[in-house]
Amino acid sequence: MTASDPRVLILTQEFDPTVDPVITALSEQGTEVVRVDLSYFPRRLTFTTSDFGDGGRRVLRHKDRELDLDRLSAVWYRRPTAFDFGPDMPEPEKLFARKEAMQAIGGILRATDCLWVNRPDIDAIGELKPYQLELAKRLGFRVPRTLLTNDPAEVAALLDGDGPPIVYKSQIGGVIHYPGAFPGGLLTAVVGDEIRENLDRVGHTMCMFQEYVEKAYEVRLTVIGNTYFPVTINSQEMDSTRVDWRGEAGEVAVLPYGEYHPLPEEVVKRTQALLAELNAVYAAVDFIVTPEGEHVFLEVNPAGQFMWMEHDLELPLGACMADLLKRGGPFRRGDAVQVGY
Amino acid sequence: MSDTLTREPLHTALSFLEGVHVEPQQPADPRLQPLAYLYSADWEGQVADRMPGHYDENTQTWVAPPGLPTAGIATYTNTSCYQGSDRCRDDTCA
Repeated sequence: MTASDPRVLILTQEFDPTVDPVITALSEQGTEVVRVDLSYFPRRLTFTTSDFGDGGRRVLRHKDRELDLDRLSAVWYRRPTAFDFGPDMPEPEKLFARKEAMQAIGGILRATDCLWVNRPDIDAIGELKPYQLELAKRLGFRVPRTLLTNDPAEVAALLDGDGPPIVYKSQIGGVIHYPGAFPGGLLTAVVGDEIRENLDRVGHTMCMFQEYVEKAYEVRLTVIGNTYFPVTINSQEMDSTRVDWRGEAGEVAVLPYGEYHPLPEEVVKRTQALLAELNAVYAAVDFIVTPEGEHVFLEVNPAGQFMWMEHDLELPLGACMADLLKRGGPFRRGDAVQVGY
Repeated sequence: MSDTLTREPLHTALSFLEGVHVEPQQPADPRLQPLAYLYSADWEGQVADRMPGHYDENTQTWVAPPGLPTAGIATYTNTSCYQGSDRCRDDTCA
């Protein structure tokens, strides 16, 4: 596949505000884009691979669109939802059908020889926070001291110590999901005396506690290929963002953005090494910057959102993603270029 | 790979998807809930409306009704979260 004849497959659900501007940009540039959700399979989406006839072929068909999977520039794996076998198939048969589809479609897609942003198996590993923290430490980043446990006694012992304040932080991000209804918010929180009466609830599942790190400001770094977009968030300017900057939300909410600060060379170097280790082409990375100027690694989001910063700061994130997808693979981590605002 | 091909729908948008509707259940006994729920805002069990607009098969993008924030620029979803606010910005939730 050459850059003059690019074809891009985007796997995501129909409502995905991050994807829409990128599709528009790609289409305006003449790039063939096919966007499908895996819930279309099998009733509205077909996959076929065959060695019969004249040579092999691997094709995806959806309505009047047909995509040659051997001629892809890139696949953008965003938020595809589960296969939908329809209301009439009994549950045991659905289980079989789902497993067959997972094996076959997973294999067909994995066999494509093109750029993936990011491959789902890479996302699945890359979003494991304990793994990220260990990798980051190994690469020289400071990370918050962390206790990860389902043992209430371990938490009680931590609380009885005389160390810094402790925060509770979930593994999976800012919401608790209630299917079919509004989600509930779940921000990182400083724990107080309330936890002592609830320590037995630690035993229900894994819980992560970290030392609270004093902040001068925070950085949300979006990495698209080798292009870095570090955004400063002056989280200490507002009560709602002091512990977790996602706390500032609402119809007219504006995050307390700060001036553009390019990342120090050493932070870029370590981040490149971290993303190379994770094999991630795209990632959103969060840092605390201490009053002493040290960058403390918090986490990587291999499928983090980014369009809100394009809206607020006019950063060309969507265009950068479109360029990456259009250019296609293979991708190599090289010299990073930082983009300011 | 076989378990990672598909994802949960966007956490803040699942309720807006065609065909995805689950009757909400009231929260369990708090003592039976993981600790995380202690730090989550109270949940009122409110069923969500569908996202205004529709998916356009031709442009392959979401079309919002006139006057509403355009999906892909900045969209907001009602939630019960975030310190008294009942809305959060979809894009900052993951």
